[in-house]
Amino acid sequence: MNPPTLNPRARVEKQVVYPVERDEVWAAITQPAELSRWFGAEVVSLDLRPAGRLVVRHPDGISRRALIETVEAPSRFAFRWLPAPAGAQGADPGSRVEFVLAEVAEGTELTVVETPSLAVGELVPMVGPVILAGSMSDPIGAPPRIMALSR
Amino acid sequence: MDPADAVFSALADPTRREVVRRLSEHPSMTATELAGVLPVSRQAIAKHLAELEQASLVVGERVGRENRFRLTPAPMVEAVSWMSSVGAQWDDRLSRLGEHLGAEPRAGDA
Repeated sequence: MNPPTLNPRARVEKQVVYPVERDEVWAAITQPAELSRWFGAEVVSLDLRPAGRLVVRHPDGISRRALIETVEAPSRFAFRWLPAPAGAQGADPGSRVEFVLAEVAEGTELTVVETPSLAVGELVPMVGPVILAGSMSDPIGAPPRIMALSR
Repeated sequence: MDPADAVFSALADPTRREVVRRLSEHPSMTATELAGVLPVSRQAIAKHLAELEQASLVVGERVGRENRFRLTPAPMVEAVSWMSSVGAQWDDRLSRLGEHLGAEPRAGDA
């Protein structure tokens, strides 16, 4: 099998400036009750430390788990969604989410970067259990397989 | 149009993104099958498939009496489709976060 194709375009980056203090934005992204209000899923548990777990429940009842990688209050928070099996919303190979908070003149600049955990070539052909099984078998603490995409 | 622009423009439409997502779950599908799982008429699906074909995102092939469509295997297709759905999700979240913080966000995409 060929090595996975790395596509540097597989990356989502959003940047927003909120006219509030950085601590307020930090609380909104790291406190379960606040996070639940805007994330689009209920935060069931959040163990805010590196190697801690984040568990959310979507409105359709599906739960997702993430492994927390970085907690540097009040400027950096990163976690990695673990791969999800095929369900109502289709299989999800997992991804890494990073928040960076910077103080700017107008308030707080929030940058969000999300990158897929798998090579982009593996994103779509996840129909069968074979590829998914491969990604599910990763130990939870395994280092990112695509360093170039994860930072 | 640059091929990448054609891809982005074809995937700018939420129905076409949904068509791509459905096709990703099957080896191939007909326009009728797609219309059966999406809230859009078969005629509209056929138009969307034509646009996706134009952008080289899908190919159609005659199998017996059916015209079956499948995703092209280009890695960029998956990348772009992933980015468009994840990007839209963050737009929604960040806008709700702005409301939660009692503030209107000022900047758009980075």
